[in-house]
Amino acid sequence: MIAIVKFPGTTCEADVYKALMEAGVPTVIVKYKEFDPDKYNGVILPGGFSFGDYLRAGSIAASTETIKKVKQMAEEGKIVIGICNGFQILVESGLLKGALLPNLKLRFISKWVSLKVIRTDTVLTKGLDKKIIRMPIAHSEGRYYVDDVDYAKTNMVLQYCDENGNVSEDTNPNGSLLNIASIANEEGNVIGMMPHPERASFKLTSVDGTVDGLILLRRLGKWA
Amino acid sequence: MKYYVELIIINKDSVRDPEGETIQRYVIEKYANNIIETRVGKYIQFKIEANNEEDAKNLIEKIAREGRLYNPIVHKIFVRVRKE
Amino acid sequence: MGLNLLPIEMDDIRKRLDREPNEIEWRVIDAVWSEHCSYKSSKIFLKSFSIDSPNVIMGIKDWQDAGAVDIGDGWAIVIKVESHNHPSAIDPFNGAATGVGGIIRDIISKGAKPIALMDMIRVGNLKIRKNVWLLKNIIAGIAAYGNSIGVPVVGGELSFDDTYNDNPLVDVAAIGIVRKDKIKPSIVDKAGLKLVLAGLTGIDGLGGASFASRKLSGEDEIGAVQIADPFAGKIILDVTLEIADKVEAIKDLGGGGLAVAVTEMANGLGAIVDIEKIPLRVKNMDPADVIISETQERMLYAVEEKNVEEVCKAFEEYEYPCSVIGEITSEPIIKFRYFGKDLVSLPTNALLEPPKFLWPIKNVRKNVEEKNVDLSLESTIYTVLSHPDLVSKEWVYSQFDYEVNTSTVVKPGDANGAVVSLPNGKLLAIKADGNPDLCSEDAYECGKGIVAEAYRNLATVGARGMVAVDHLQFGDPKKPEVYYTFVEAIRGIGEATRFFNIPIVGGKVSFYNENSQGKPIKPTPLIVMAGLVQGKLLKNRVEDSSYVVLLGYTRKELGGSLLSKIFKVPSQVPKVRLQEDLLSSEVVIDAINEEKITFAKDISRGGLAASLFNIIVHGYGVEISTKSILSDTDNVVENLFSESSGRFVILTNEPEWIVEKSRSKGIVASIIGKVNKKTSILTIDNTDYDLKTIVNNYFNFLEEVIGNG
Repeated sequence: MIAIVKFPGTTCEADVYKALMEAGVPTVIVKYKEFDPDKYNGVILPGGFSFGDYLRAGSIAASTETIKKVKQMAEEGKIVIGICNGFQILVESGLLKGALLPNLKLRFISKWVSLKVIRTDTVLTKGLDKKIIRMPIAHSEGRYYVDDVDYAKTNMVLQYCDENGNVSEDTNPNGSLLNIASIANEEGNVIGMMPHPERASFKLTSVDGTVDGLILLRRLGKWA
Repeated sequence: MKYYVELIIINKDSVRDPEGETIQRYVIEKYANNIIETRVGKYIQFKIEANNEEDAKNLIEKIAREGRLYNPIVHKIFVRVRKE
Repeated sequence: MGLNLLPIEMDDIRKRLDREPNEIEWRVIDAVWSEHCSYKSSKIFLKSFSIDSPNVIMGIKDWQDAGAVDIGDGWAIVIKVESHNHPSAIDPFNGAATGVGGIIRDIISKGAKPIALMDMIRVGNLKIRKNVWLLKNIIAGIAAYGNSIGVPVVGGELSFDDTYNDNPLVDVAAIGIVRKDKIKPSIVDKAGLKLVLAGLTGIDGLGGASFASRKLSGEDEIGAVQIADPFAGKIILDVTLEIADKVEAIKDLGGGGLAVAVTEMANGLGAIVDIEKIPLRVKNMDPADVIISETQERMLYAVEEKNVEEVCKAFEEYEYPCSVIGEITSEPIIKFRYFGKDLVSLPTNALLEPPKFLWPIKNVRKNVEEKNVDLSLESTIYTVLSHPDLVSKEWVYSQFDYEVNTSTVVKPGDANGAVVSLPNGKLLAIKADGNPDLCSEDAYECGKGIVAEAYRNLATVGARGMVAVDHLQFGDPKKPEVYYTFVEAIRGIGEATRFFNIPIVGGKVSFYNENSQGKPIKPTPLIVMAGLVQGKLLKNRVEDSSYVVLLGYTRKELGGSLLSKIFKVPSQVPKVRLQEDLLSSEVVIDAINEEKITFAKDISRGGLAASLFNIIVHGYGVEISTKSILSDTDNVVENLFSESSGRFVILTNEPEWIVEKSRSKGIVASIIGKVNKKTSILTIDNTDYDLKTIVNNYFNFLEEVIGNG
């Protein structure tokens, strides 16, 4: 069972739930105060504005007891996925190295992007054939930064690219280091991603009929 | 002479500050119970070439007003000057 | 005392009470009887909208905070439109943000889950820096609030006119979904229910309802500024939907604060509120201020005593204040007590029934002395098509999270209407339309015109309008020439909605939109219409070599058009021929269901030229022959820029089918041209016009003007 944690201000839990159901992954939404790490094989921190995104996005959630429990799960090798605000919480809490700064243009950006798949050894991308996938982003603090560029190069999972897989400044929506849209820990069980896979899981609402998000989420079935 | 001028923009006392309130409630109060209030503002630092501190301060106040760096209906400002 | 009440109103209440109200009571009356809350200058006419329609669950007759219609399968949609014009003029970020907050609370007060937002913004000339500042912050405010609470902004309007310099119009519409049998009222029908208030009360927005009911004075209007707290808004949203089952009625607190909310909820019964029980944000608040404070993110619930604990427990989980502040009584008096002492004691019915006003009307329209349009085609094309009204709004909608809720089927910018998916698998199309230029020429034709335009817009995605709300924005109603346009607009809207059988289930009136010099805005009524996709959905795409078909007669009616505004060409206004709008829309819907068309655009702002431009920006060229346009004039400029209604531009590979279908319905149609691969070239009667710079302007204008502003 994969738990989806809802903090006050989280907005995407129902969408992630819908997508996991579509992907055939057993799941349940859990309020942050009621989260018991021992009950689940994995946890997803969905997108939204936990605690209003006040101070810095994800910062207040990162210091809750709930995240201590999530850390425990990570150490046990369980699955920990942070989507958008969830990614912000993971870096603020130190579960992933680095920081997510305000977008270079200092504006919220909402659009569908193409992503180049770099690592295929994470729980979400294991054995993924597709090299270029499509998903929407919607954030104002998505600029990934870390001091150690080598760390970034080794651990990045997805990069913003064009429809042909070319990674360049033009295809970088927020100024992220190395166009990083997603990064994971070395083991590949803790992943943070700014794009929303749950929003690319239904043909009806996909811009071009692709459901690349679903393809990623299906892999969780193995560990759920 | 070079001066650093600091412009602090903060909500007027009578205007709510939900960000300050949330930080107060969810972070500050975990650590101390004698912190009465938390307010959040914006800090902008200018480096100016001016004749004296007074001129430097006046210039920034003028720009803040005319350039709408703050909204006088809801914000108040503090301007501090120091030599480089 | 700073009251907005007229002497005649003050005398009226003295007579009804048979005494002089005390100071606090005067402030309560000022709020409840404000134009914003009581609709005293408009209610008589709004009643004319009431149509008996089997689908309507909550309509004009019910006069509740939002309207609701049955959409089948046990579901209902709730729809509302709101504005925050006055606050946005002085604090655009918070003004716009709290506008979103307020309308979301109206939707959840019906027990409905908000699933879509739309924003309709009108600002002044962007060459004036203040307007850039206003627009930037208005959009930022809407984005901050909408994104934070997780409701997608799926569409909207943005247009520019000098009339809105200093007076931006910030309109927000929202749609919610709810099980038909779970709709909650905002009014109670029995005494003994406890009044439960969620949220803290502070000193924000004191006098806001009053503020919205008078012209901007240009003074320090700080008292009326309400600060947005989207985080609190999200908590209110989540918990209200959680506990909706456990309460009897829900009301959000907006203009006039508790005074208005309690009075309206009591609906003829009475209420007692103990002010000392109200949780405060600011210590030592004057009890009078507590009563009319407009602090945001507060909700009022009428709850059976046995459910109170459960209701407040749900809020406590979020550490959000919740407490019982009073109860509904059978004695029809609204009482606010402070430690047992009556501060306010006013009869409910007196509060709910302010004197209604019928202001004088005066028609100041002069007859138009029509002149022949003598402009060069080249200059009109280049000037009209680069007008800011016609540029891409991507700068705006890319700041909104339009994908949250995974139900946005047609994305902003892709079509003339937004389309969202509903829990029962049906698709709902939504569109908002206004036309101040036409309304200032002929408010009656304009009233019909905007309803017809919304109806046509929905048809372009395959939907048929089924419900609407209206927003009427005018200057000072006491000015006879303004009130005249108000009455005429309502007449037009009412006629058109009756014709299409589309019930208006609610709406808003915003008067006193004037600048500090007393100049009223152009009359700006707005229609927000929703309808179900009838069968197939059309997602517009442009294909090389597809044929361009024009449905409907083009007429030499340039009054109120973008061309006549820019070039100051006096001309007749379009007579809105509702039959043509209805029938041509049916042709489009049928064609979509038979999969005969790939692209549909209704003809509105900028006329045929703008519709063709819309095709060109997809990266193509278009060639047309003006001789093929069925029209009552030969003048090429008139034909390209007329905004006469009832028309569509269609792209199809089976043009004859379209023409036949149209004729079978009694509508004329003609094949006027073809799409080609000559990117950015508009070919008219074999002359090429290179629109490359205009296409560039289309994509970059807003970013360039505002991004760097």
